[in-house]
Amino acid sequence: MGRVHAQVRCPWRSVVLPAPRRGRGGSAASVGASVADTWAAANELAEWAIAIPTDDGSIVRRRRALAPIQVLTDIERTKTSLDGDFWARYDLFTIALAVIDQVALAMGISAGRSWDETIEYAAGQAARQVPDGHAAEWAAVAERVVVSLVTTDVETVPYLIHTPDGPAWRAQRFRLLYVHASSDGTEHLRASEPAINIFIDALDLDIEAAQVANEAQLRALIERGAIESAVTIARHARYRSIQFQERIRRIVADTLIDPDTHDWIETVPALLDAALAHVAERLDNESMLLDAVAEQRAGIGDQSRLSLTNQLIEILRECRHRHNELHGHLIGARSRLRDALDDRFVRPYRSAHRCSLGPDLLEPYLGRSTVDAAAAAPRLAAAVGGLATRFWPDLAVLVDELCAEPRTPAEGDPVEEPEFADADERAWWEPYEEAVESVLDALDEPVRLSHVLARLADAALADDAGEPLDLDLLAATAVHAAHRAWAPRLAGRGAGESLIVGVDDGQTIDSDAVRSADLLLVPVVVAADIDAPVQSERGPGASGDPDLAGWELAG
Amino acid sequence: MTLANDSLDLGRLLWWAARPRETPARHDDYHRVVTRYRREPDFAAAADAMFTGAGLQAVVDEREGVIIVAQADSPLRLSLTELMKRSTPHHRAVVGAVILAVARTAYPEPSMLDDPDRVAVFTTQAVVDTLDRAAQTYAEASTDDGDVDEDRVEMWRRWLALSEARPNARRRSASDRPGVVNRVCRLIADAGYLTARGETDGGTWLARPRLRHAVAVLAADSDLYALVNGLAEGSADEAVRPADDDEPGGAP
Repeated sequence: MGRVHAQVRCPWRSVVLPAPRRGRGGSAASVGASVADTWAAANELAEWAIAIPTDDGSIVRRRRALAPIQVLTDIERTKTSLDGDFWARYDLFTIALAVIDQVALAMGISAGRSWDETIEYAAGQAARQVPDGHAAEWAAVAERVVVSLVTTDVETVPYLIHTPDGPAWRAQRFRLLYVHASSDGTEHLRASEPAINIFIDALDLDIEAAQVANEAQLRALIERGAIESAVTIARHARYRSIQFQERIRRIVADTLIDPDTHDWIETVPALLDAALAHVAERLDNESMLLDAVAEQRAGIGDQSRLSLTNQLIEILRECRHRHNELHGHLIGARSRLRDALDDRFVRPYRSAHRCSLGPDLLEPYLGRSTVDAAAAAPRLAAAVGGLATRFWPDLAVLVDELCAEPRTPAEGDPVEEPEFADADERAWWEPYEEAVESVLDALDEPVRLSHVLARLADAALADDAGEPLDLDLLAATAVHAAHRAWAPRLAGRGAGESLIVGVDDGQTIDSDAVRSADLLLVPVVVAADIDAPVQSERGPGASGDPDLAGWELAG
Repeated sequence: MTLANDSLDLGRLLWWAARPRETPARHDDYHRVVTRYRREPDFAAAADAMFTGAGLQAVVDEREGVIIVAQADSPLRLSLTELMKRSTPHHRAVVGAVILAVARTAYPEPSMLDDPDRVAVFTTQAVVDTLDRAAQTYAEASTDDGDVDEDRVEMWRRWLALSEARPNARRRSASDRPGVVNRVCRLIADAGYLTARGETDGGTWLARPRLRHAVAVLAADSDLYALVNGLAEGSADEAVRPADDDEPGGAP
């Protein structure tokens, strides 16, 4: 890598870098230092110039391999914009790495970690980072990390590749973790190939070749008795096994989805054969390695080395187990492909033309006028609403059901939490209370209730949905609020707090809608802390001049 | 096999169709009728005829069971008024855009609709972003204000007219953009297509594999395509598309 002196001819857009000096190639400093004199003597050094186009194959491979890192960095970088002030104390990057690791290690052909297990694990890691945080914080951190890792496949990363017609843009759609549905209806998380790449510091490698190389390395290390290094390499080998397993599973799954996308007469069988041969060879080699380690273990007296050796044996066994599983999967693949093909011939496959969701439906929909869209909207709701009409049982049954005790789920049954009507929607009276509150809070001089009522009537307030508020209800809310201020609760208030106090001076309102005392609403500031409930002979509800001692008029 | 027996099994199929959270793997009877549908063409034809008569379209999948997609005029469908009780028809049209955006976010590529193992996870924020992006394209291309006539205001203006989420809000509003998306997602979840998974980014939703069948039916619905693209009979006015190849006002 360090010294590349070949000149790459490129008619397309390219980045021309000055050549690094012989012997010091690759170091940033030498490249920087040589910029000036290289350009001064550009002609002499023409044959030294390297031109690396951005669509060079090796750059493209690295670009693709580095894309997952970008996601991890983003998780950490964007945390400052989140609600809550605890994010700075957590390192989301490392939690994300640990989560991918956990998910990858738990992967078999059809199994993995469930969503809840993964969240629990991530919350545990968050708790390790900040032991004095709250459980709710840990849960928020855990969920944020897992959700960020799982939803990445919506994103695409554009990159430039080299084609015979010049450079062309391609979009890479990748995912780090993904949820996979298994045949028994459960779901679990799996790690993708690019995600596992992060753990084996490989930017882009042929997995099969890397596995062979790993084994050679391992054998040499075990023969020399370098157990520590062997354990590290064995860990890498384990990741490669998982990665290989994932790739094969993906290819088989793709073929099952649409047999036409792969050439199942030649390419796929050849691929399966090659994979089978590779796995069989790995199995043999792993057995040999295991034997070799076991032999070595017999001669080890040192306790720590012994435990390392045991660890190595464990990892090797796990690799062997994975390859065994993969072996079984590959042997069954052929018959599953045949079944999928049979199925394909039995029923018409994708006979109807499908339009694409974005450009053909969503975008034109947004361009339609409201009345046209309103014609299409019920159709959409019907499509995703399922069977919506429910029939009521007869009244006797209904009453029994409503009064029945909650069913205790039998063992193995999913526990269904009772669902109560949504509390998300605001209660209808809340906009009224808010409107009155805002008017009262804004008072800076004594005002009569009748004036407040008039102000509210003129304000033409609207609720969340933009519907105007009902004036009678608004007046009723205002009268109630004013009368609450007539008997304000003072206990527990501190000095400097401001509140509204209603004073009854005998005047009344008598309109069509309202008949009440026309209270004088006085904004006041509490002058001293009030700890105990006020002991007043008059009581807080007494009419007449209230005791204004201890209050001072605001404004 | 007698007629009465067949009819009973048709009824069982309908029974299970109304329970979208169940799967054939968990119930012998469900598994039996689904297998019967898949193996016996006559039974399948009878079932299809029954569902069609009720204004429903049934997709029967070995693993997912029966997935029902209702026609727009079926009395068994979910109507928009049930979803948004206290709103005007104009506001309800936004729901259609949100449903399409959910489908688009869950299946960003058409081939994903064919992957039986795909379980998409998306957040409410991602759906809001999808809609924002699409609406913004129109907003940038448009030079004038909306029509005075309420009926003729374009949908992207309706979407942009919804308030954005307030950051650090004490309580979530049901009528701002994430609020509407959440409401629609909850409706789709009630129909058994989504599972709620936490509150990150306004709500995290997991699309069960059966959603792909419903979305595939939507994508293959030529009437819907015609309606949305202004090709249906009776929709006289032209769709207002962003001028991507014409200069504004400079159309030949």
